[in-house]
Amino acid sequence: MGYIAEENIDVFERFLSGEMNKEELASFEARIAYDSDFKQQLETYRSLEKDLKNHFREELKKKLIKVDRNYDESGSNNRDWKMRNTLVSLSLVAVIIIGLLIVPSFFDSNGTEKIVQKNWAYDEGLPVLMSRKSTYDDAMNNFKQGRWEKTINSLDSLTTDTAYFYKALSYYNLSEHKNALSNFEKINSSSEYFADAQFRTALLYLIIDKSKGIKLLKEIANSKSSEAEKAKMVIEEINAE
Amino acid sequence: MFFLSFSLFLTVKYDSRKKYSLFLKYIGLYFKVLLLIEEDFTFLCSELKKKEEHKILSQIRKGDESPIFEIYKIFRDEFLMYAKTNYNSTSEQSKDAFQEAVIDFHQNVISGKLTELSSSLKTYLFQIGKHKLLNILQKERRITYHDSIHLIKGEKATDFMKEENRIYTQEQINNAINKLPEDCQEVLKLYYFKEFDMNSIARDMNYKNANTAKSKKSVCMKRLVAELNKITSMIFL
Repeated sequence: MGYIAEENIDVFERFLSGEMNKEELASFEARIAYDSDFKQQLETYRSLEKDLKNHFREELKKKLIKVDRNYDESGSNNRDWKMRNTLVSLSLVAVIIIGLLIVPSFFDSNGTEKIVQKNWAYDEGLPVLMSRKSTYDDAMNNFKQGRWEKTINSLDSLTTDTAYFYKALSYYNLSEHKNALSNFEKINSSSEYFADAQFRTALLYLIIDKSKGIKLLKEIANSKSSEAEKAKMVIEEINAE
Repeated sequence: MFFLSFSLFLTVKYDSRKKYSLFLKYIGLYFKVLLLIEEDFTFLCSELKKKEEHKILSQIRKGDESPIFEIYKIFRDEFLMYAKTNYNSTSEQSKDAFQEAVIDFHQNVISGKLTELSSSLKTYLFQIGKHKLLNILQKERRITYHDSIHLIKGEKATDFMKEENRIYTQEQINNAINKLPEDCQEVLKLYYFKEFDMNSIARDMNYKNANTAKSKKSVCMKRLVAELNKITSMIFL
């Protein structure tokens, strides 16, 4: 029949665990040979041991299916939360980086502008003598009175280094730094205004392009320019910032 | 933590350019840490990964099932994507295959077939999972194609015949086990599924010694067989 008789369980266990001595084993094997029902019971017992394993395997699988279901329900929420958390963190970091790239340039420029303003020497303009008429009289009158646009208009038709110099100063006072720069850069290197213009050019570059401004200051500091000492002082002030 | 350290950083009196470059390095490090902490297992380097895998195998050998649930959660989604991409399987088929793979991994560790991973755990699981999936897909194709059992050739027919010849069906065995007292179920599980020796069973179950564990196991098997015979005899009444 194959149904396991309970009284045979002990002997099956001894056989399967290899605990039988020679005599027992010989007797057991002889019985298997002649007793087909006994043999079938043994096969059923072997099969039962495998099926026991399958039962517990199925049990473990049911647990995994439950884990799977729970994971889908709460796991996706956790994953959403994690993803949101990651996105928020990354966004915050991005904002901070962008902020740091922009904001400090304002702080820096305020600090740098103060340095530029401090070192931007006041020029009172050319003397306007009553005794003789000069080409620059109108421009200088306007310059001394702080009428910068009129100064520029008065000097516009002129292509001298003097005109460029005072036009540049006027543009600086109007905060038109690029126009100021373009006029300073037109001044000839042999001009009496050149050293001053070169120094002021470097100061302007500190506002527009700080690294270039520092580079120019260093060149002036290392040269024989009359503004070399001033350039060194400005460099020190920037480093201390 | 990040904002706290960032605030501290701002108070440091550095030259602004130096502060800039330091901060950019800091941001880079933060990104790396942020990505790392998103993983479930913090495999920071291969040495640490190996230690973690070694720990998992050790835990499983001691009879702890919890690592396999964690492993399942970690790698499941990736396997589903892999299965869908390569075999166009459904989510159910892929899940089934991966569950079988994880259980096989568990069994291989228990039985001593797997003592050390030569590849990564993920590779090992995916290899088994792939074969399980192919078997599932093949089986389902055969069942859906042939609507009459007589037309089914090969393994399915053989399995069917084996099922017909069984004295006790799996369902009967499952029911009989569930009727056993809990300690019997536990002893049988420790012996047949977790493959503990008698000394380990005695330790786990707080029995006096290995012989006590052996007697207990024998008693439980007799009870199981008695229950099975009762179930099967009722069929014929």
